[in-house]
Amino acid sequence: MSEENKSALQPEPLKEETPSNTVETKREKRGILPEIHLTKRAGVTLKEAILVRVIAIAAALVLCAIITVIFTGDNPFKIYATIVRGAFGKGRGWVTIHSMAILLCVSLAVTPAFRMHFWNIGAEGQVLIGGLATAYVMFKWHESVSTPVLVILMLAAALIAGAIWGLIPAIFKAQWKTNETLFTLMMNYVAMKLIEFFLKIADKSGSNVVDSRLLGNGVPDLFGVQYLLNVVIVVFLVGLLYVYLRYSKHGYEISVVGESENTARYIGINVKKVIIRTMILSGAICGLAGFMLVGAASHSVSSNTAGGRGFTAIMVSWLAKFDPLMMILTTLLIIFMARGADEISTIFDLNKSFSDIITGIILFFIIGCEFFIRYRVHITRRTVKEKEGE
Amino acid sequence: MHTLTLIATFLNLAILQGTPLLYGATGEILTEKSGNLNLGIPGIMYIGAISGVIGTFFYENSPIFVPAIGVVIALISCLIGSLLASLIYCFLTITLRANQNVTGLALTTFGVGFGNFFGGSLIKVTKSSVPYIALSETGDAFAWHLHFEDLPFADSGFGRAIEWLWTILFSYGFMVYLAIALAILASYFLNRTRRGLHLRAVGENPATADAAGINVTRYKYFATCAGGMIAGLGGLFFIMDYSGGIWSNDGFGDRGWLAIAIVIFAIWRPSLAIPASYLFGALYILYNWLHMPMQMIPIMQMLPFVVTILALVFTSVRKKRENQPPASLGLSYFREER
Amino acid sequence: MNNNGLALELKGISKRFGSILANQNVNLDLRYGEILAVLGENGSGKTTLMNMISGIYFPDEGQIFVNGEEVTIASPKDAFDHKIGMIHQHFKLVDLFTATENIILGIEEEKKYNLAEAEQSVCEITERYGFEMDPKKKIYNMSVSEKQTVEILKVLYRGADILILDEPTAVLTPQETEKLFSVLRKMKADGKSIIIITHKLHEVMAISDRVAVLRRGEHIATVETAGTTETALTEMMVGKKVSLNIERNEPEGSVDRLEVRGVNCVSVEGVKLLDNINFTAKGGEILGIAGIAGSGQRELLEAIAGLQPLESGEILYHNPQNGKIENLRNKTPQQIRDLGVRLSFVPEDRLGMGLVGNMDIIDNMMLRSYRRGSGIFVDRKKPKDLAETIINDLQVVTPSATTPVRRLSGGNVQKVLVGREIASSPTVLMAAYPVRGLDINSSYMIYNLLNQQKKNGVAVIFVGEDLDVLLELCDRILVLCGGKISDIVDGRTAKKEQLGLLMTKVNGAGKEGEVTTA
Repeated sequence: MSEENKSALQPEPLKEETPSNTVETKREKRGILPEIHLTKRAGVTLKEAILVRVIAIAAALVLCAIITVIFTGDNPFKIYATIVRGAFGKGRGWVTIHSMAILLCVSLAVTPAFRMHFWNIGAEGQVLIGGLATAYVMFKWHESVSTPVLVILMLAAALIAGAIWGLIPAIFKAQWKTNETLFTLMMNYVAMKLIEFFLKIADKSGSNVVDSRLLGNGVPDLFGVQYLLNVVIVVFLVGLLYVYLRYSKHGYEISVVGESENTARYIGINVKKVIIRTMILSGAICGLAGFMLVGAASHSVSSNTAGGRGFTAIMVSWLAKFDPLMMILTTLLIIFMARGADEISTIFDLNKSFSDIITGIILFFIIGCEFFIRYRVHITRRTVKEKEGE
Repeated sequence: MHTLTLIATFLNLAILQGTPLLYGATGEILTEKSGNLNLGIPGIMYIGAISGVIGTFFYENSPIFVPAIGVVIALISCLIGSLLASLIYCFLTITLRANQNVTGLALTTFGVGFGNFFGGSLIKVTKSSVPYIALSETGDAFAWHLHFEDLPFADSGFGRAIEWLWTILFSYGFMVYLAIALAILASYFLNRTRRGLHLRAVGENPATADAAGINVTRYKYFATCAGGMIAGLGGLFFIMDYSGGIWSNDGFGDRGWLAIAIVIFAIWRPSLAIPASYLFGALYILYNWLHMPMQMIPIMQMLPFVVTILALVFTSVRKKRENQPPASLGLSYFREER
Repeated sequence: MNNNGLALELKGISKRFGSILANQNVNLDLRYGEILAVLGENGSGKTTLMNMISGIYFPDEGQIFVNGEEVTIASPKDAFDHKIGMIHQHFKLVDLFTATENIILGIEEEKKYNLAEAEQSVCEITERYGFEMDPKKKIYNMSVSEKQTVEILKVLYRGADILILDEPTAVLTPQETEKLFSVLRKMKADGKSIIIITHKLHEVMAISDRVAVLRRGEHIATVETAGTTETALTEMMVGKKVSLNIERNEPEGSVDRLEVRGVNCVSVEGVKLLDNINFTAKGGEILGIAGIAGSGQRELLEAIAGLQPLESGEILYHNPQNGKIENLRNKTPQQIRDLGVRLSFVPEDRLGMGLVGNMDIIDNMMLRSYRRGSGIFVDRKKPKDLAETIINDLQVVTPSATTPVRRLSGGNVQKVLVGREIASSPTVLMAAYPVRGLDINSSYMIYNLLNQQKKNGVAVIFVGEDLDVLLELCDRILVLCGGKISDIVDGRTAKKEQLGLLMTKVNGAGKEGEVTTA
């Protein structure tokens, strides 16, 4: 999406109607009408699609560098080096991979619903409620039951809580076509406030976070390596979801319902059942992410536990065209830039929110470039009428 | 008498709390009526607020500071900032037909980051020891209104009898009234003007509007930009009036999402958004007044969202056509090749 | 002013879409204050021609004169500027708005927006022409006929003097049609010129002053209605019988397979879609279904397939394996399959119902079979083999079996769909317009496939639009008109004109066959 394209497209690409000033009287030669119009591309080769995206990301990186230079005065190449160091520098790589794993998990969670064209933007809430359920189990029983039992209880609670949070809007969507985007959006804040409620009950001091002092140590580290368990779970999950969506009967039904409800009816799929089943799955995986965040990573819970990942995940999944394997790349891109921008802001003493701006810019470019993959822009000069005077 | 004063103070605070929501809701209604679900509104409100703050910040530090001009500069820079942010959304979703949800969420990420980044940077510029920027003089100008004590009849028996009424009705800065005026204006525009009719047609059925000769693209751009600018004013009000000219990072909180909730609760009607916003404002502060135990605060704060969900469910179950979201909400329009 | 008493004149209009010639050198004229009927079969180019007058298409060649002046009509707005308004078959209305709001939509006037005033002017128009319309009524509360009235009012409100109505009676009851006609007569008396597209001959006779007949994109003739007969018009419309040399074998050992008894269907709006349908489809024969578009063909097939709820009636399937009779009434497609009924259905909307456009050929093969097997995974091996078999046998032109079907041409899409439906070795095969948009070779391949199925003892139901094809391919032909069966005739002895008449009026000359009542 270059600047020239922007300016060429901005004036009315929709209109393919010819201007009305061409109604001319007899014996006058008709004019030639320039027109911009769009057609949906029948298909693009993988090469073209990748090329467009690479160009968009490159353009975004250039713009980000320019902005960074303005704020830091540093030379652009050093900035790129700083970004790389921020993400994969000494002692950072593992944290980066863990951040990726968590974001990837949430992105995987929203994907089945999106493939069904169910716009679940409630992942944030589903993660939070899963985290809350985990925290509650830990809070209640971390001293009274053995660790294995506790872990199983935590996991079950998180999965069920997430599933319920996904199920509620799904039932209404299936039964009454209640707008799922708005419904799931509101559910996020209900979950958030429930967590705050829990915080107030669990910790009378009025703190914004309840941590391991009250929750215990949750899930022990796998082989003594911090975060390893989470990373392993997510690696498995990627494979599992990839197989589920591509090779299972359920996955096939999800695709058919998403592409055309009419076709689904024609071959006898129970559309309501598929919607509800898929949202239970989607919510449960979000709950799993909540379990990993609270039970296996931070051992603490707050209303910021999901940290906006529920929203970022929507973009990750969408950018990857709802393909679990592609999501590894898009997650990498987002986390890499965010951590790099964090590093820049630390070194140059900028505000932490710098990374949000950088992430936003990159997203805008990738979102925008899809247009050039989906549509073909024609600028033709159509001859309206070639009639000489009689 | 004492009870009246108490109620009056409560309503006063509820209205102040509800006003940013009203700006956001009015802006989002206008936007959604064109078929655009702009989830970037929370971000735009941040951008509007910080743009106003930046403009005023540089002006307030100049030697020729006049509070009234400060107000104008704040308003203008706020409008420019939110317009530019809205244009990003418009260009991506209308011209490039990108997914509205994804674009909106990206804009919110960007907008909140933008606000906090520049807010944080300005705090650094001031070398302040506290984590906020104070633009108190402009803030005072924003909040200026006739104080009851200054009225000639304030001390008379009549004066004391109507003080509570004055508190509810007249003790606000101009932006509270502007919010009401804009909501009423938006309502008038949508229901009583030709362009409003065209805009609603675009949101309901863009193909029909297109066939009737209405420029769908232009209307969508117009509604989304105007809506974004109005929402931006909500952010500005929160900083300049409600907070007395003090910017602190993340101070605006999740009010943007609350504004989107109000749109649903007010079933896409700006006139209903006025009471709905004040109701949500009241729910937001109610815990302070009911002497509730601390832990109930979040439950009270949850109410607006629960109520919104119930409203959404109720309208979809009842299926009254007038109360549904605009039919093409969230879809981009593409006139297929004939 | 070069006024020759003609409101509108077309000279030498041609229009082609790709390789298809939609209109060829058409000349047509419309006098002041007359009603001109434009008559022609489906695909004869009527609507294309009218769309060129109303600015939706632009002619490749030819001239248009309005009031004797040559004009250029490049957009609907240009048409309105010349006081031409068209009422399309598909209504373009905002459901949530009132009649008046829809009528004034998109008009940019100098004067202030005043809904009450607009309602007043709408009332004036309705009174002048005798419409029955509440200007404040919302569209979603309206019947189809009321919606049509709004469309007509929209055109009149903009001051049109030339009105074009595209099959206005297709969606109306006889009473509503009569009402519409009386309105049209009043408009004519008021000096308006009206073009009405229709297939229904008795309506042509009832309403029009002159009739213009189109056939295969060409203008055949324009005649005075008073000086012609329905039979003469039918002959002009369908033309001489063209021999296509489609293979047709005598049905062998035909047995009753599918029995439809007294089926009635009603749309959501309460319009009767199917009216007391009775027939029996036999194994080993091809039953053709003829009719004007929208006469209930789609609803009938969908009712059998379990996609259209029935108001009343039975659909009985005679299972050839165990001789049992199953009632398919109001069963879902899944339930029908669970009964062991092997029903295949090639729907009219290929990419919107029969196939998923964004999926590749292999995945589309799976639509019917993915449930097979007890595991949780789909088996792509067999669908892949099937896809390759179909690609080879039916000569589907595609880069590979993993190409999304959306990217194939119309004919190849249809081969994929028909191939899949036949592959599940059905006992009943229903195909709606299976050769629409296909070239000659592909069409013959489809005919052969249907004949092959017939030979295998399948009950084939073929919905077609080309009468020549129906007459050469089918053993029996069921003719639908307005949701009713006009007649069921023998495909070997029926005449083309006879079908034409049956399609346009209910229970016409029913001699050769009899309405099968089981």
